[in-house]
Amino acid sequence: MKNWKQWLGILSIGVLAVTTTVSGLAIAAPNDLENAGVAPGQQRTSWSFSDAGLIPVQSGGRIKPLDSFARELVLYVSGKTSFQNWNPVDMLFSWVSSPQEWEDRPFVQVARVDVRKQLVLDPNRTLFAPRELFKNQALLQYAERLGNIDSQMSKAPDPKSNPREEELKRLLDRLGTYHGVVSGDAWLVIPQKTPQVWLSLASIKDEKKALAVDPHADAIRTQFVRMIKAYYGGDAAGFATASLDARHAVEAAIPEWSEDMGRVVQAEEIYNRYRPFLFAWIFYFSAALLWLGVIWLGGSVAGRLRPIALGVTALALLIHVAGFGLRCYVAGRPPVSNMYESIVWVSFGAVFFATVIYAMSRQAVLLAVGCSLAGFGLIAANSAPALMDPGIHPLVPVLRSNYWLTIHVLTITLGYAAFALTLGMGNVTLFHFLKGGGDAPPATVHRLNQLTYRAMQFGVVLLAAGTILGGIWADYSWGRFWGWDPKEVWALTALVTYLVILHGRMAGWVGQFGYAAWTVVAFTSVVMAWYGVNFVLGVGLHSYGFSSGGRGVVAAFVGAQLAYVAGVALLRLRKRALAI
Amino acid sequence: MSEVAVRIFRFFCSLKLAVCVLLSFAASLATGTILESLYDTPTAQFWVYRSLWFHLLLTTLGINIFCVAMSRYPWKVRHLPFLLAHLGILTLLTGALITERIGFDGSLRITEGETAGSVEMEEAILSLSDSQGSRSIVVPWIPPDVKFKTIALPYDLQIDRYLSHSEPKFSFLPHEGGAPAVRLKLAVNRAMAGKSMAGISQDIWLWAGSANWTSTQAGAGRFFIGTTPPAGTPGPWLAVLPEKNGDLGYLAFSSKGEQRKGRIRKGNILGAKIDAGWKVLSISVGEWIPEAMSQVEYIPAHFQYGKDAPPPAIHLSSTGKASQKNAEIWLGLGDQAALKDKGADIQISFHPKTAALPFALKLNHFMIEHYEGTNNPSSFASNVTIVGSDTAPKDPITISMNEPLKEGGFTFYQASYEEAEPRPVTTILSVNRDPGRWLKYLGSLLLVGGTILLFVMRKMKLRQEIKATAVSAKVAKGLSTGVLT
Repeated sequence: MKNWKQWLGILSIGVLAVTTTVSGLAIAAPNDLENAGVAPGQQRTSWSFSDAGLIPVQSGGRIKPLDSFARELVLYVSGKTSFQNWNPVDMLFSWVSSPQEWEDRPFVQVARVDVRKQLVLDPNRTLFAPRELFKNQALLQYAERLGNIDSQMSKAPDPKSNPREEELKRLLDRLGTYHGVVSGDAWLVIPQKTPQVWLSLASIKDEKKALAVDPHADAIRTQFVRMIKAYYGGDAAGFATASLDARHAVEAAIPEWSEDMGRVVQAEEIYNRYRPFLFAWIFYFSAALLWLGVIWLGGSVAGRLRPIALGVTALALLIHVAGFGLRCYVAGRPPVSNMYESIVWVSFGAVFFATVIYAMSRQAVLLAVGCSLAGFGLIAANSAPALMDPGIHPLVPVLRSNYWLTIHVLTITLGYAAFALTLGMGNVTLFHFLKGGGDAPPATVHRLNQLTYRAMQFGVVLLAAGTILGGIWADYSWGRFWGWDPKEVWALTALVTYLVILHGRMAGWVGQFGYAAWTVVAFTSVVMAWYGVNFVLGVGLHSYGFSSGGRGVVAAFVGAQLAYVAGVALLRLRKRALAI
Repeated sequence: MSEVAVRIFRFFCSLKLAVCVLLSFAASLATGTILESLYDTPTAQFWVYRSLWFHLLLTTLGINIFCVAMSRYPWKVRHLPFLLAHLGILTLLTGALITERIGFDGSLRITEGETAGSVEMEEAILSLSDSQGSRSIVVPWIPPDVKFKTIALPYDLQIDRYLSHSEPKFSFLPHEGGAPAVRLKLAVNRAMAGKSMAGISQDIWLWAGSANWTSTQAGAGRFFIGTTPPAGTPGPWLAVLPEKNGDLGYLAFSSKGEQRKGRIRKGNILGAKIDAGWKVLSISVGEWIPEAMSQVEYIPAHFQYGKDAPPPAIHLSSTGKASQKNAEIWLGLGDQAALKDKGADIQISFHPKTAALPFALKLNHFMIEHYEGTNNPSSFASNVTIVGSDTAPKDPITISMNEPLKEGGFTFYQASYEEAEPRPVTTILSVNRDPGRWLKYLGSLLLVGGTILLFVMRKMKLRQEIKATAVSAKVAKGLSTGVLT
């Protein structure tokens, strides 16, 4: 899907195929639409796509349900998790059965405004119709130039090189992907022995040999044609039976198919359908509100509210953990390999440490902060699916099946979680200073700082242990304990930053206010270690996590935090000056 | 103890010094990563991680920790967590120092079926040898924008220029008795070629003096000087054939097999058109040197930073004393040259430092697997046999991503491989010996264990404190209000 090169050739053909005729598979669909209940190109809202969604497909280096495949495709092409409330599977079948209906509908994303300007497109829109893009002279010229460069040197493009060029390539790839769905090329549903590429629906037509060799190809294709026909003709029942038949046909053709594989595919469909992390944040925020109630109302009301708050927190945690478990089961590994997964994990960690320290101290503020952090974390993780890919992808060799690596990453990110909790607590303490116009009751501040201090202890131990575990793992698999790699250096920098605060406190340089303020400031180092190395610096051995984007949002977050600290500090200085 | 000594000791065991050192340490680390992002890894290492001041900073940290630990003497049980954590850091630092000083880290490149026992390291070495013996001088790497200080060499030679990232530039100079050299100008005909090819032109040098220069490929065509390809070689090709009388003959074949022959008179060669009978390309003579020698010089490369930056080059010249007057030569990494000194031959070579292992490895097979239906490797491994060791196992051993081979104090890791079609056959192993390893592991254990103990003991103290505040708060509020928030 990400390989734009293979679509370049298709693009020029695509101009003809998509704009003039109904290509490939769609020809097989009947043209007698007069009796159909549903118009072509419209959502089949009342239909069930669950059986179709369960058909195993090969994509992105693993076998996944068609449901996941459709979601990833729609997200990639349109940049939206759900385009105008279309069920992604519904949308895929609509594309393939009536492409002429989609020609003029704007659903292909052009994410960058400079690219839109370069292509002389409306800069205020983000979505464009295939026809306007296929007819765009500037885009065609770019594709041609790209083809020339490509034939001269086959060097992989550097994703950091030029974001505008990258978006242009992605746009070509999006068009190619869409065209691949319409032509049948993108549907890799005819199983082959691992690790071979599965055959696509279109490949059978072209290569008569493949059809002869593969005994299942014909059966599978027949079922898919039945599905498309039923879909086009508005025959819901026919579509359902054809889907089931297609699913069984594909399953029967996978050489290493087992019940376990079937269960994993089903689990992934369930994970897609219920999206547990999207639900959990609602419960987290409800819990946070309840905890706020416990703090503010006080007295007997708080006494009665507390068990409810605890219950809702437990429920939210349960959903969170269940989603995590399901994702582990589907991916076959702990999900800490990209930004999305690590934010989900850190959100969990923040609530976990809040709960642990709550168990020791019975301070409601911890869970109010912890639940808010988790809520915001999960919202953030799901807010930018085009940027933080929620899809489940296989790991690069260096990350595979390694016990130490898993422990190392989980430990370090748990350390981040503890520091996230200190950040939240530090903000609460600062809020007390803000409320008091620069002064706060010493007892409250002392109590909050003690709790922050505890979270910080967890963070320091886990970050130290995690960094060292990283060293052990690197020694074990690369032969060196420490290599000044930016990721490890920033983990160390974050650790040292917190050590500065702890020692500064002991040296008497950091007082109660300073402790809260520096705690908030110090989280910047965690942001650098966690996000900055991969998204801003973009160098080093941890290159399997590199990406770009979101800099503005993260910079705004860090900026707002620093401004908050500075504001409260100024307020406090003024109050002090007035007092003297 | 004198008062000064006490003062110095107090300074080095002060907590405030610790805070300052830690803060500088954090700032240096941040600087290092930013330098690495802006420039590249060697630059960051030069300015920060391998610099003198960074070592001084770490030394200060070490002394600080040592003095603090000593200041608690005589130690009591309650000091244990504190001592463990801080001595852990000290042990770690010592281990790191040992690794840096006497550790060994290089890479071993083996192609399938071949045996290799010589490990290549990062350092560049200049070797000078004559019949008496040989000497090696380490040429330290310095970043592109740092001024190079001349390095004196034996035989009255010196390295007077240094390019951290260089590319060769060849030129041909008239030289009596040399072989003929010609520069051909190739231009794509606008009318005949496709739109995308229009306006492309290229210059190529041909020189009859070295096998490297007698033929070259440009686009679809192959070009020769002083020789013709074997009969039946498919076109398009063009052979330029200098003749004894100073004329320039040529013989050309097109892709369709049409032959063209021609001759340019002695005086008209410069700028003359060569009619090869090709539709797409027009060819003319840009330069013509009937007797030429080649000369290589190195210039700063296009890429000065990052992974694409090519290796360094050095310029040697005589110090102006008697024996080596006017000698000067450029050497790129991997180049060799010979000089004469008072009749003796001196062999010079500039190459990466290598070290011979006490045994060798034979690569039987390189294996690579991909994720299904993609070109993304899921794992790769090398099947090797240890050669030339009496104690080592004789059976083939597989080295894979997380499964290194340990032999004779060395550890071999699967680091990388060279891309090739249809499948890669050359593996790159990283070879390493780290005498500081156990100290680092011990230090890590002490550090983490000590820190946990430190916090647990403090937590016990804290709990008492919190209980005390809770009780006093409850007493103050009256027990009726109940809930503490």
